[in-house]
Amino acid sequence: MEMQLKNHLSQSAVRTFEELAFVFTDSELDEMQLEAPFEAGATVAFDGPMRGRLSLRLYGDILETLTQNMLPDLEKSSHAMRIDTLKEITNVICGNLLPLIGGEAAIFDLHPPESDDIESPDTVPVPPATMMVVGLEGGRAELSLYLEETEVMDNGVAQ
Amino acid sequence: MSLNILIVDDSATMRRMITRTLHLSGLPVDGVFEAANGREGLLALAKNRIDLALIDINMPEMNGEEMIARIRQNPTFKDLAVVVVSTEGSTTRIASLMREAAVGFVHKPFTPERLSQVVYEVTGGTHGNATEEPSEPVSGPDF
Repeated sequence: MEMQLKNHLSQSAVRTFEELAFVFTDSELDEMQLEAPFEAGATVAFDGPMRGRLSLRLYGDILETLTQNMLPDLEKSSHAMRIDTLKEITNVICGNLLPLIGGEAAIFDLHPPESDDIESPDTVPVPPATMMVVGLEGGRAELSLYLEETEVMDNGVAQ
Repeated sequence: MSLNILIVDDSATMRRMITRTLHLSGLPVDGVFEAANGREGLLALAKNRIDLALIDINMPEMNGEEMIARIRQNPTFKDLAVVVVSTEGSTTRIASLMREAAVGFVHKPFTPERLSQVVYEVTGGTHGNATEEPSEPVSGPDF
């Protein structure tokens, strides 16, 4: 069950990084990527057939590259623009993930993304339903999916 | 004979991406107006003559569904072309939007070619207003 969720999360994340932010992803991380420091994070909460949130945290020096890739006309991005970029990437990953785990007919409402400016211990008392790490040029991205009181069938579809 | 286009999305990055795509598309874009939510979008419609609105769904204050519903309730904007540009993946919601309000849908992430193609199609493959009257603000809309 968790493997199904992880596969769905991986599919959504890789597609979004590659097609929206034009960066290649690695499943095998080198030492530099593994030890890269926290850079920024964002979270998107959602309601619908199931409730939860998706957290994306970047480690390393990635966000400027992502922003420049998405906005190549921009000479120098501001902090606000970089955070907005991160929030939109998180939003797109979440929007593409939910039909995979909730079914294509299910209607979800996504809340506005929120930034996590500091790396803080997760205050949610439950572990994520699934999480994954993907390597990016200059660092890594960690994604965690939290679900609240939801039963998930063996095929990974919530009920 | 060029298009005035309104982009309604709470992400400034996405608005800039769409604007850049429109300008590179070869479409005759005259003016691009931006709004960060449905409420701002309605104000922009009230102040400017818009040919096409590209509207996200999930936004704070007023989401895209409510904005589109208000547009369709106002006879002044019965001919406004509306394209939803969203991460929305629910076939139920997309079908509802397309049946009742929108004339096009672009799923995020999108390629520049996809966005340009949909814009071209919903504007009838034409190049904006059939008339060459100067763009003037719409007077007295009541949302």
